[in-house]
Amino acid sequence: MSETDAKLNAVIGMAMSVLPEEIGCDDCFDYFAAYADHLTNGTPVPEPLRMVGSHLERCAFCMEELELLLEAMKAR
Amino acid sequence: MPPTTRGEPESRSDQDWINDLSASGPLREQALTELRAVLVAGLARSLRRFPNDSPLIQDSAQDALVLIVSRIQTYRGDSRFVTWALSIVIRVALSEMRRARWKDVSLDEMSEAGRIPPPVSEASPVNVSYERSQLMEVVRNAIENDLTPKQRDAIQAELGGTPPDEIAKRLGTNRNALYKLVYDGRVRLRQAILRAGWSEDHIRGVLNGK
Repeated sequence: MSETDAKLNAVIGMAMSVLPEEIGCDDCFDYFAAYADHLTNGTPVPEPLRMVGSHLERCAFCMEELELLLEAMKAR
Repeated sequence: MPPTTRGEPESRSDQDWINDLSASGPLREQALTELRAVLVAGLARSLRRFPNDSPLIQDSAQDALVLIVSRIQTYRGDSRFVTWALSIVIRVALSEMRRARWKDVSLDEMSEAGRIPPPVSEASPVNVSYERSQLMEVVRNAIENDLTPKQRDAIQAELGGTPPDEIAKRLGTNRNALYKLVYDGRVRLRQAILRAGWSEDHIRGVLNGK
């Protein structure tokens, strides 16, 4: 895929994936630890935390933070 | 009578952490030392290319420790205390890495990196389908004409791979406000694309080359 195609796909993805209710990066971060604990424990993610999952699907930077957090948790 | 020291860090409960970090004397000092070790070990594991004693890991752990103690009242208890603390040190370290990587890049350069270039000329060997080039033109027009300058810069910078912290800094705002700015821009782009007669199915078909 060319760089232009990748950008076109990305911007269309950004536009067409808009949901009526979304949370931003800082709100996502507020629930990050609870979300990570649920993932690690394998317990169902409760409804209020589902928006964290939706945010992570479209924010590569928060997803990177979550991946690093999950790795850091393995150090204990 | 409360204890003056704790046993193994693993046995410390969330409430123990809060009590000890909020206390004074040996309990607090022990808790600070143990939490710092937890932060360093976690960060070193997640950022494997940096050794434990690297300035990034040591400085991030120290900065995070200060933040954790100052924000301890905001810990809600909906996660393990250590997970909450690790989330803070990860963000501190990543922010520093991103700041160092992008410190000399201007907002104009960030925005330019994400700009979708004009359609290729007929002489170009690149084979772009007619529908795809039309869709590209709709999107390019929407970016140029339907977005505010700030929305355009923020969205293009994000498309160019700039982290939100750095875009927010250049725009003099924070990550949440940036997210709202980009969200409003995404809504405008979606409306413009739909207004131009493109359905979601049609777009999917063109992007998938069907």
